[in-house]
Amino acid sequence: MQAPTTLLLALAATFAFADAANAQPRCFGGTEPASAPLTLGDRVRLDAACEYALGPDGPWRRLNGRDTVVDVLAGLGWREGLQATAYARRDDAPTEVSSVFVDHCTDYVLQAGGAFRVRPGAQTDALVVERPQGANACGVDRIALSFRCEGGRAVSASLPTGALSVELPACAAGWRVEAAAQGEPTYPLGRLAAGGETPLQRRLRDGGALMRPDWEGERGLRFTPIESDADAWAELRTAFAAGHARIVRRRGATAATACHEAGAEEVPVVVMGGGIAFDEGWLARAMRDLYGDDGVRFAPSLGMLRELADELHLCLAGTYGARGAREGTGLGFAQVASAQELVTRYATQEICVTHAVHDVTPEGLVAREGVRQCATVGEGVLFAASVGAVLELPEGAVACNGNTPIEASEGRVTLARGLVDVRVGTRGGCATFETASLARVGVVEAGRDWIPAGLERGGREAPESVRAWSGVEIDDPRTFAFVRRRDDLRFRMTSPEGFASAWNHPARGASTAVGQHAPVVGDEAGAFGHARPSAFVTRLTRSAECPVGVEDVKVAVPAETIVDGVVHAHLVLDDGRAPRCLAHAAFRAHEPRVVTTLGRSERRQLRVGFLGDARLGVFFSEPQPAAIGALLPIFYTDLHLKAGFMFEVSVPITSAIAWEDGRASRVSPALMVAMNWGYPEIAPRLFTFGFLVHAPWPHPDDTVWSFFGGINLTSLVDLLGGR
Amino acid sequence: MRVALLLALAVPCGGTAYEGAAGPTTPEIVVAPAPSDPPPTERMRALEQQCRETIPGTTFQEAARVLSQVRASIGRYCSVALVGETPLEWRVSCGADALFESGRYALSGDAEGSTPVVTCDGGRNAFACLGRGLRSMLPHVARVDVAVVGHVDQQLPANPRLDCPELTSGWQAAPWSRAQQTREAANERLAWCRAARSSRALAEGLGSSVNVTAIGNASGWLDARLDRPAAVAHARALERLREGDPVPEAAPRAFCPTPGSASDEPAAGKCQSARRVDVLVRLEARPTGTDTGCSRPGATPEDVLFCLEECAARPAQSQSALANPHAFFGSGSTETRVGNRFVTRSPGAGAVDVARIEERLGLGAR
Repeated sequence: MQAPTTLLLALAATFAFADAANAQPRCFGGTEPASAPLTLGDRVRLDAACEYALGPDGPWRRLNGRDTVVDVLAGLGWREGLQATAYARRDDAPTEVSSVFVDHCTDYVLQAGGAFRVRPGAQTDALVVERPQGANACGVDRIALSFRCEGGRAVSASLPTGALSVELPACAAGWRVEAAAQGEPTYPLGRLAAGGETPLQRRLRDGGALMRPDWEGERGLRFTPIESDADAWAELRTAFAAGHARIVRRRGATAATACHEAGAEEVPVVVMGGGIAFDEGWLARAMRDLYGDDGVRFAPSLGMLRELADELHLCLAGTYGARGAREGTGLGFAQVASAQELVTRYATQEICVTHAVHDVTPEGLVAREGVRQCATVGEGVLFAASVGAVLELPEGAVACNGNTPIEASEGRVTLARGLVDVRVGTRGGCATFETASLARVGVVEAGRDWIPAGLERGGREAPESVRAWSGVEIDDPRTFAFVRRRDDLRFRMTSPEGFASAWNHPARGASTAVGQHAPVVGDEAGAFGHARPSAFVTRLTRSAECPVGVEDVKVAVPAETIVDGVVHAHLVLDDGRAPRCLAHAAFRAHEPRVVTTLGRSERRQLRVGFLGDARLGVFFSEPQPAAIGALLPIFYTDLHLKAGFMFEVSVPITSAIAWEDGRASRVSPALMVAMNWGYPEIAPRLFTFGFLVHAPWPHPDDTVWSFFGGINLTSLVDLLGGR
Repeated sequence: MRVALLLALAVPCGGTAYEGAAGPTTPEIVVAPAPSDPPPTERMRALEQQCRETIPGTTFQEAARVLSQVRASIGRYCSVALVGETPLEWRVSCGADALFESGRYALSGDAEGSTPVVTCDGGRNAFACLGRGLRSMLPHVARVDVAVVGHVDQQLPANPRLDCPELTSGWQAAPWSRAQQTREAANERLAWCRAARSSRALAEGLGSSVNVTAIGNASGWLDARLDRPAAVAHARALERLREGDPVPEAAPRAFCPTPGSASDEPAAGKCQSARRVDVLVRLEARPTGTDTGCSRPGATPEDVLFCLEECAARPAQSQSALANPHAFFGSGSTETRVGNRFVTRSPGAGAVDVARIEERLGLGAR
């Protein structure tokens, strides 16, 4: 019979069990049927008169040549997971079953407070297993340990009997531990692993998003923690404060590269209990980098935020100092913060504008309703519109002009001049960058932004709505005047701050560019190089109808316009999709020496001028003489009537040759009252019939008055295509 | 005249150029600095505290030691096994034939002058010895919960009035108010009476009041495993055979579940394996802080993160991650009759989760 184990001796002192428990049971070296725990290495003596089994009901079998409990178990085919108990019965007493089992203390020898001690090693994730000197609890002085690294690395280690410690290197999957007394088969002790991770380290190793975009922050957009990760979130906040976590920006780099190599831009963030927000100053700088100084007048677009998120990386220190050196972790911010959600919520929302078209007149702007234009947010919407256009806001959006909110009525906003930024509605309103621009609308006012730069100004002040046209000569209340050979129909364009920056940004890929010009263009076909054409152009036509999309529009050439002829100028916007007219203005051609136009009626204008049109014709009076001559008005005033008639009062110089004798006649200043007529669009005032009072000199037969019938030489030259 | 002419020529040429108009501005968005919130260092401290407050390894060591003692003490008559891997939950199954007289609920050794089958220091039966073992765990655990389930086979006791009036008191409610005088009902009462007697013996061994439930499971365990009607029908068919009659082939036969004995008569519903008492022991350990605190003082964010990592980075052994087993008191039934079972619970014990007890004891229907 084997001596009782140390443990059982200890038990006997405090816990006096029946005698059978203190001896080896029958069939294992004892005589009485009993059940006994054995530590590894405890000896047993099998009995040839006994049968053995792994369960109290068999199946029974004979067993020889085994002398420890693990050896007996191995002989019975025991495997891990089964109860480590061997049962036995003697042939002559089959109902009296004995058993021995591996003492349960064996399973906990590596645990805190167990017979062995386990502590972290000097290297990262290394472990040290120590056998305390002189320890013999649970038979550990007889036990040798073997360790096998699980997973891919074929690494093993051992702590032989008599050795006091072993250091295990890092093994990510953990160590499988087996114990054996000398000469015994091994007995599994379970798994041993280096220390666990903190909530954040564990969470990031598991992957997946830690945050998601949320527009409900105090100032607007923030990235809020996912609810189930409260502990990891608290740790992340603390890590930011401790400098163990940071966000860097580096385009086109992996997170590992961006976090571990120099050169990445540190991104300042505001870390709050409810989430992380970008520092507004940094956002403003990012906008300036993209759009120049005007970048601070509008919020970042959804696309920009998404691209920004792709360039950001969350970097975490490998350790907070308790583990020794460990390589840090780099994670793509877009993945950690579910950045794709930035666009999924709004990308398919539609934004519509009902445009307005304006007639620019000397009396002010006259508005007409234009076409309705819609686009989805995902397209990176940037509309150009005229004042008075109506913008339909998507649900949850607000309209801002810079930092100023624009009041909406039932989701509709009537647009005034400026750069209207349609943003995700947040608690920060229009005063924050912490939001996203869904669409932008550059709103121009034709009376201010479309400037007839080639016209001289000397006329009266224009109303406020057409301030850029102030001083331009006026023909009638709906028509400006331009003077042939002096004025030039050239136009410049101004636009609200930020509009050109936004429009021309390369990321938009716009096919046209917004500049300071609205050049007069024709219908010339051809390829004109790679530079982008102007988004705003001026088309000159002979009719008031918008020339966009209309065939056979007659292009007007100002220099060829006959006196009193009308040229229509159209401000056309080409946004790369569908060109359309924004505004229209009409100009009537005046003679160069018209001093002023009086009356301001669309039907009648009274003009006053010097050096009018020369006429060639016939003077006649009763009875004689008739003469052929010319007259040139030094001063004139004419009243334009309907149907091509024009009444004229002028002071011409006359000169003629008498019909009968060829002598000079009617060479003098005169006062003429005349009626002119001509076909308005072809040869206005071509014919003149007048009555003159003049000096009867030098012909002796000259009288003081004459009738005159003649042809206007200026109109005649125009008719013949001479100018 | 000449001067007038010159003036006249000059006037129409006196136009001015456009000076440029400054329209209304689109105002800039003014950057408003926003400070970060203070870091949640207190939360980190709490997490570290939570990390350090685990069930001490010594509790598992002690439970394992006691388990070995108990097995050594009663292992000849009762199988003792862990439920899962934790030594904090035990499944003890004791055969009734050795511990009770046939058809009775008194433990051998109860009667004056009788010889007990199992003895230990202060205990005269297996359940008292189990209680004695558990008593040594009391200083290490917050509470001990015990469920005792009595099983009987389908053999009915001869006495239809079998009752155990001395055991029905002392519970929150008596298992029955008026006993039905049939042998079937008496068999159901026998199962509970054995469970109640066992639990009383266990409580005596423990010497302290713990939460106990006694459940009489009647022959429910065997009913789910023994197709007795088919076997009986087959046996009767065999009895009716006359010479020359063909013997039915592939006849259904009833087999008693293991462990069987020579006395088993499955066709009569007599199986040794169904005559037993199961005990589920649950030890609820008290999480405490480990003996080592953080090696770095201070409360800065760097400090609290260091301490949290230091705690998390402690080596992990597979058994050290064990937690307290699920409780079976507190939710479930407060009735004394759950299906065919009689269920009683000690005063102060919560509702009994019978399903969880049966699941942990492996009693579910097959």
